[in-house]
Amino acid sequence: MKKKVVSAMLVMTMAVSLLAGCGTEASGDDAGAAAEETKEVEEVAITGEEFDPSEVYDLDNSDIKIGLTLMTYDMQFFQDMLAQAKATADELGVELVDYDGGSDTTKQANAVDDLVSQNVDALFLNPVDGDAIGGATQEANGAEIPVITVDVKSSTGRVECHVSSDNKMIGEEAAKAAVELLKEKNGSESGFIYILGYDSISSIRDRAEGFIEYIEQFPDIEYVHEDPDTLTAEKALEKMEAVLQTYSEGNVDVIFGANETDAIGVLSAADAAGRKDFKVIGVDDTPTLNEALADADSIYYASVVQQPMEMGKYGIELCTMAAQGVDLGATYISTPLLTITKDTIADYEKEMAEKREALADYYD
Amino acid sequence: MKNNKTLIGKIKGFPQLSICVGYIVMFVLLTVMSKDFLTAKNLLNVLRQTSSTMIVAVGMTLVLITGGIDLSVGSVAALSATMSVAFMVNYQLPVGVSLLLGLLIGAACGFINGLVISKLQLPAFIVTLAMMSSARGLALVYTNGKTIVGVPDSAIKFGQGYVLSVIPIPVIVMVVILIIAGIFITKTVFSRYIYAVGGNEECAKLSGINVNKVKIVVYSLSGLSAAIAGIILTMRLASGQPTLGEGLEMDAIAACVLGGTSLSGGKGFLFGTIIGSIFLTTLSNGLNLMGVSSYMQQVLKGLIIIAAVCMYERKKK
Amino acid sequence: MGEKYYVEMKNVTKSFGGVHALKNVNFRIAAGKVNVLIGENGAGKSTLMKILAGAYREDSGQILIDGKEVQISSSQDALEKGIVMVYQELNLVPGMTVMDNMYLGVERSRKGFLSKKEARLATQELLDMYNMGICAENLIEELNVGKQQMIEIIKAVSKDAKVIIMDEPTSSLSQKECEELFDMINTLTQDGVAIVYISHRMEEIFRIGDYITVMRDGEYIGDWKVKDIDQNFLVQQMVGREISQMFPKEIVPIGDTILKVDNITKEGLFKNVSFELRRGEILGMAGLIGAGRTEVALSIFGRYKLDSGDIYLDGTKVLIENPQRAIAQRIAYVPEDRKGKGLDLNSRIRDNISISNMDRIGQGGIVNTDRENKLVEEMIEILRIKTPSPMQLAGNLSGGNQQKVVLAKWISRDIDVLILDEPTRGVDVGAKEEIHKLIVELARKGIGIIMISSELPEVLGMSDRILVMHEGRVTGILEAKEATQEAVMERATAVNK
Repeated sequence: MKKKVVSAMLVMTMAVSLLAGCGTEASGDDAGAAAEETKEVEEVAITGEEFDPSEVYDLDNSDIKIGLTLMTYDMQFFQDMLAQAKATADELGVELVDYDGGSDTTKQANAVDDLVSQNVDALFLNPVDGDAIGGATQEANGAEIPVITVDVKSSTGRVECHVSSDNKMIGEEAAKAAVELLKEKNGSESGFIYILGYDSISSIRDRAEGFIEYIEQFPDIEYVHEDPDTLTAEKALEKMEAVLQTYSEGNVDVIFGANETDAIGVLSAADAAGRKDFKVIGVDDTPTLNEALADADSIYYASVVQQPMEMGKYGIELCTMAAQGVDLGATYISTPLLTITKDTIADYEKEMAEKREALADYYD
Repeated sequence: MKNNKTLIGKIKGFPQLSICVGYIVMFVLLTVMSKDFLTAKNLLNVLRQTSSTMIVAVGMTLVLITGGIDLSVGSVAALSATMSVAFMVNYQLPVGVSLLLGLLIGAACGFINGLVISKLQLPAFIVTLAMMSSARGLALVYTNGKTIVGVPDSAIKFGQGYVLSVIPIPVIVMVVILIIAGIFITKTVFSRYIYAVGGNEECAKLSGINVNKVKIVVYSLSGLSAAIAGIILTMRLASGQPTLGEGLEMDAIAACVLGGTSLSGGKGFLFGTIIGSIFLTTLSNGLNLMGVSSYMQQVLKGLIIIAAVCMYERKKK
Repeated sequence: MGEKYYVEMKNVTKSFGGVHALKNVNFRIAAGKVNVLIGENGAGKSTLMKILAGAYREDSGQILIDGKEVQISSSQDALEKGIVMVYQELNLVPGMTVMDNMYLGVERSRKGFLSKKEARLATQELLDMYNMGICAENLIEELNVGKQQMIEIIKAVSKDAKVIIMDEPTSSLSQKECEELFDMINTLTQDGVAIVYISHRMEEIFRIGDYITVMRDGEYIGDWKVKDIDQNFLVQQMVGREISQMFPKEIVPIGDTILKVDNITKEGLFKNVSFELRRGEILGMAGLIGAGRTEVALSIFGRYKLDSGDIYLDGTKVLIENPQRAIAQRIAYVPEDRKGKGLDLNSRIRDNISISNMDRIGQGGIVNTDRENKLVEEMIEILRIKTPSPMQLAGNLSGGNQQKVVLAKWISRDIDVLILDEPTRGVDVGAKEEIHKLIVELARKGIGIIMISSELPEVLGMSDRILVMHEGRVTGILEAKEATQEAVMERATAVNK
């Protein structure tokens, strides 16, 4: 009996608060109806250089609130993106609310829910999974909140603009470096390359694809492409330990790790096994990889790095523009790439250190 | 000896008192500290977000009462939901049939758990751990690690639709399940058997209860509830995600524990599980609104669980 | 006896929560001799020895070692005074070697630290001294139970034990292993070690015993030199009490055979057990702990599967595969360990009583609370269970009331056979009488009752016939009129084999 009374009280508490809030909410939340418009976000493709957001800096953006959610906060890449996003938000004078997607599609969907219910004026969305996020994108659409996707696309729903590196291009750049290595080592475009990817994340999948597409031009280059169980350093290491057993001394020429976690896994395994018979190419700027590049002894040869800071900056600028009512016209903005090697790493580090120093306040 | 008859006495003796008070306090604090908390949209979000964990926690409560545990629910949710989507998309089966098959798969996984635990007398921890690995493995093998897209609209409604334009369908499903569970736990003969098995298994056997049957049913129900939760989550994401539900079992167990259900069996409170589940989700929601980092949230969650368990243990003495 | 004793226990008294376990007990231990301690179940032998070994503290009394009074505060303390008890549950680590076990926890023995080499040598020396025929490096789990037991004893010796207490050491040994044990005991006594030997096996007592002390009901009866007495005298001393008039031995009409048990066997538990039970009859089952009575009862109730033999109910052969089937066949079983098996202590009285009656309380799977409350109230009244409410937790009741709750589960049912396993163990006198009266009432209703009891007066007072078991076999079925305590005891200890 007691239980019934208390539970009734609790239900009433919630009911009363629902009624209290009821009046203020429009019932345009029928996500089913508004949903199905998918604007193909490739109508206009421009590069970062061609993008000009300068107008929006002159406007009064003070009552704009931008919601942001990233795939994860665990990697240097995203930490850089977030820091720059926060800095740009400050510069523009907008309020920024950020949620960690925690590499969990459900968590991120909930995060978008929360942002939508907070009535943000624009959504900076870096999905954990482009397919899973579709529903959330549509929620935002239903609430008439403009969505800007960064780094990973949303497969359904209406998106105003997409910013990312051209992931296939990343793969291609890495492949070019790999082919150079083979020419050096074997005297011709021939040899064996192992690719460690992660198909569950579309950006990484695209890189592997871009890489493979490039090397398929060369009939004498053989390759194998595999993934670790989950995208964590431990699993990548585990996988590579087994791989190095399979491809023993002298049987592999180059290993490509399609993202920083993969690349680190490769290096750790190589270290542990004491292997120096091949070279490694990776992706992204992260302390471990940079150290390896700087180390003359290390087998790490090159990194194709992205510009997460540019992505963060453009993303916020675009969001602000959208919030101000500018029609973004379904643009795709590709951010520049850079291949750094043992020779260029020192300068690169110096540059990045300066940039990060400038953003010091915005890192957690 | 407390006088059970006075109102004060009854309130003091109410097992979930502390957590209820805690919830009300938290609710008030959040309302004060964040302008976005006390809105219909936000509260409905909280309810929707809690629905899948709640449904799994109901099944978990039954399992915990028998003194067992089910670590496989997250994986079973993934498998059932992924296969459901596969039936719809790859085999073009009607939505209703696909959903039903998904539920059957969940119940079957639970059935296998229960069978092995009771007939082979293996510890529930180990058996469900094995299922946790295998079920997810199966889901990943079938999908090759990729998500399946193309869920038909009629199905998506289950995850994203609303009743009366306001109440999310998952919440309706959750409420229906709670009502059924409530009736089941308070009024049926079978639920008495569940408590008896958890309270003293040998005594239950000697009282003429078919202990194996009880365990098999309970684990099957847990698997079924995992399937329901998985399907709801999947319909929201509009795609078959083999990686769905990681950590779902921990959230469900946390909800049960917060509600006073004992991990050693014999004691379980459906009401407690309900409060526990809503508490955790509201906490997450509130902390998010206040901008607390998700890393810190994990720490806080852990502390709260320890505090709750201490409280319940002390009450026993 | 006029000799000097190494250990003397004088006027030792011990109670557990108001129940006297020992009342002014005397016990004397002579060095270099086998001192036998004997008594029925519950006589207090284990309690007395646990006090000597430091596991319990006496409430009053004296303990003297070598003429000097001592206080034994813990088993560590007892060890330092040279007293070691070898328990039935062996204290060895199966995965470790003999020598490791030997020196387990003895970091700071009086000898100081030993190197591994020294430890091995010392261990091997001891092993050879007792002709064990094994190496110090052998793993415990590789050895059979007999050898393990002897290693426990050697462990005691290695700690310079002057008194080694052995509690039923031969209960799990084969004939050959017993012989080896006796050889070891011989060697020990020749070295001046005092052995306290607790056993109820007549053959052994008379073979290796030097002195014997008899206890009964927590009291000291007497001690003698083994060669001065015979088995019959011993049995008489063990049991000799007035048969109290406590039991309502009323005449109840006895009908036809309702249960027939024909040559049932379960490997390792009981063999070729046969008997018949008639309506209205109370068949007492007597025997010592380990005789196999509970196992027979559980097999009839379907909890264990029989290896061979048949059970007949009312003339028809039945196969009872599990307790549900037994209940369907109108058999009920009230377990001996009410806390462990009879009740769910976390549950309320109401739930405990109703759980085995759901076939009558439930309606289409739903619990009919009216029927439930009615049944529970009825039972509380009939059995006079003292409780403020049926919603009281079973764990909070006194022993006697708990036992009544367990009974309440079954006696409202329409049954043909009721098996009661130690129905009044640990129950106060008042409740005991109530329960006995109830049992007779049930018999009057025509129910066949099997009553397992370790209390001889109860068995003799309540039964119409008495079935005695010893180590898994039926050693006698007596008419109560002809039976005496001695007669039952003889069969329980298998004296005249």
